[in-house]
Amino acid sequence: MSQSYTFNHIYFEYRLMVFNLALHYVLNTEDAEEITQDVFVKVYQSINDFNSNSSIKTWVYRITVNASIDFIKRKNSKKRFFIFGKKSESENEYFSVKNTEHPGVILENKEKSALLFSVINTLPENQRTAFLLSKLEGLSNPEIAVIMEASISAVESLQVRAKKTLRQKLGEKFEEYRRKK
Amino acid sequence: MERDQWIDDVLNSADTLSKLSPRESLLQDIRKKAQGNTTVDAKTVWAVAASIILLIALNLRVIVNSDQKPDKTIMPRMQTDNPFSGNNQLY
Repeated sequence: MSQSYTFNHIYFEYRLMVFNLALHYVLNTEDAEEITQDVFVKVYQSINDFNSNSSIKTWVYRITVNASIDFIKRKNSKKRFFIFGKKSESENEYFSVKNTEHPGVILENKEKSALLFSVINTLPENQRTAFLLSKLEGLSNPEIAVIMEASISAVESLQVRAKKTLRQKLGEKFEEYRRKK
Repeated sequence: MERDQWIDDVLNSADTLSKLSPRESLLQDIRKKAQGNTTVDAKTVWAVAASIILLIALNLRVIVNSDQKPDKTIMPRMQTDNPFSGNNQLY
């Protein structure tokens, strides 16, 4: 099987998965396409080194998660350099200039989902990844553990903490929502 | 109660996300980028790194040696037969 054939097969099999996972992280199609491009360039270049003992799906997922996180970090560092500011502890700066509306959300859920993503984006990196892979991608904990190169119990713990933080922050948002109402 | 219901609604609002597709021309762009990014051989990288280190070492040696030796090549003050005044005034 040629490298080109294998690459085309992987691309058409996983392009939607890669693009939509990147979209969960960056919430806009231009940046998600840039990440998708980076992911498949990496796949193309390292396809011969791929260890066939692990699943291609898991491998592509891992590359996508890392590429998305790196993309956000890169954008934040460029922004910091430009304004000569000090390094922040969170990745929220990237989202401060973008809206939090996921392009794939149906109209009736737009407001609530924008609120949800604004809160998801405040989660620490690992918690966010564990939550997105579980809640939005529907992956099982053993699959997430392989992608994140962590133990299953660590993934469970990340999810519990992520849900707790989300409920707490949404609780604060509810007070604002009720006041406006 | 109302609060918990509202939080659950917000958490479940992303359950109905529709899958989007990237643009059709993305595969071509990826191929172009992937084939353009040729990887450099590790030997070449080491050879370039060694050359740079050698160049820096030679430069440092020259600088250190030139600082230690007294300057023997002091030029005597030039005597010129300049008919013009030294302050460039023509009158």
